[in-house]
Amino acid sequence: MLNRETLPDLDLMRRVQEGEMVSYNTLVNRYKDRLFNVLYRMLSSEDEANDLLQETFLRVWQHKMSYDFRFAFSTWIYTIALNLARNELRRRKKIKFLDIFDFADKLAAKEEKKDTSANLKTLLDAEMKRLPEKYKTAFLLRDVDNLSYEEIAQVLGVPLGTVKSRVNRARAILRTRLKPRLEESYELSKGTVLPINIL
Amino acid sequence: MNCRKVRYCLSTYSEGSLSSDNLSEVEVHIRNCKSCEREKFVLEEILAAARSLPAKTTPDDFNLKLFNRIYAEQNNPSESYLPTPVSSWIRRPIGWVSALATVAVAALITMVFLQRPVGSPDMPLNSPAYSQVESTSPMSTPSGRHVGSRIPVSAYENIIGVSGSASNYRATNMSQVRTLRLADARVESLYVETMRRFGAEPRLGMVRADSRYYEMRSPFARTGSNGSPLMRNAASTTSY
Repeated sequence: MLNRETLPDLDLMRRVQEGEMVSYNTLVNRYKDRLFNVLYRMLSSEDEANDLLQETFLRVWQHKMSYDFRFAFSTWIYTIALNLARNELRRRKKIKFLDIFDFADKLAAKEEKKDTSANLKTLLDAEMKRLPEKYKTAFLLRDVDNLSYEEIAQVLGVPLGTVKSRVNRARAILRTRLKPRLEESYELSKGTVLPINIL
Repeated sequence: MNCRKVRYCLSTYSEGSLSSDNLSEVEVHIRNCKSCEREKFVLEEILAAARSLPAKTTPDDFNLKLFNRIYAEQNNPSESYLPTPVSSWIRRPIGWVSALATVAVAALITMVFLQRPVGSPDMPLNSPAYSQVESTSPMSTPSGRHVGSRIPVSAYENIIGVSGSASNYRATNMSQVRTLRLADARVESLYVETMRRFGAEPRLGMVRADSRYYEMRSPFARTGSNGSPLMRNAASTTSY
């Protein structure tokens, strides 16, 4: 019996073009969580990420016949998802929401600054949200989702050098912002004796 | 190699893709420079944290909802929220008729709205969200009045938490936004409840162009001097 889980994306896509829903379902399962994470971190909202992900897969189904087999399926679906996310972010800018949850987040972040025990992942998550969109997208795709630079360049439709520069810039910004928090860990990792008031 | 250059190379170094010439230079420098070693440590910690950020998963019924939508799409293509391919759209004569009608209606609505004055300084300042907005609004004055010809800060009184997705209500300046975009029934019920509290009749209308949202006309007033501006405009707003 054919095990679709092991089939490459392109084989599955050929079957999808013939209208095979089981192969489509396999592709959905293969990509849904990865894309969900990217969309969630771009939009900072699980509901909106879920909505856009539904729309992404719907578009894959709707436009399955226009898929170009010269390109990787992953590149195609990431492009659809990121375009939808960017449109959503653009729409938000136009309407200029006053997000009451954002307001609450900012209050929480202020409190968090006082809390020295906040772990690095939480801090990183918060700092990622503050990155400019183009740096955030590049960092997310490279360092969180682990796409290659070439894939990112195709997905974003920008030159390879631009992607590398954006990733480096994002890392540099994060390094600057998180450095004060990580210096204590560095001292501890080196076995430096810290003054008692730091401990 | 100096510190500046080493720090520039750190990103590539951390990925192990530095050329062999540069690699040895960077490594020697880092061994002898405490400050650059610290920078390298910080970057490696950040990258490790990024790769192990807690992963979110889609809801259990994700596939079910998706297939329901595809099924609905296939059985009722005219209700499609997806753009119809241009070639078939052009071929349909009815497509041109509806396009012209849409343009005409849009132009009419725009003209009507352009003729309305914006904002009203005599609105009641009793919204719970008002104080937050007032303190953050760049155009506010201590008295809560507007500066120059911009929208008066008291127009922000029209803030209610209804837009976006269900778990992410937003307070929106309703005097600037002419439509409410509501994602599901929970938000819709919040809208209805808010409207009733103001004594206004909620107006609902589904928009096919974007299946993710219900879209509603803002019932709030933009001007006037008789009675409650909220109420009067609510009464005059037509649903679509």
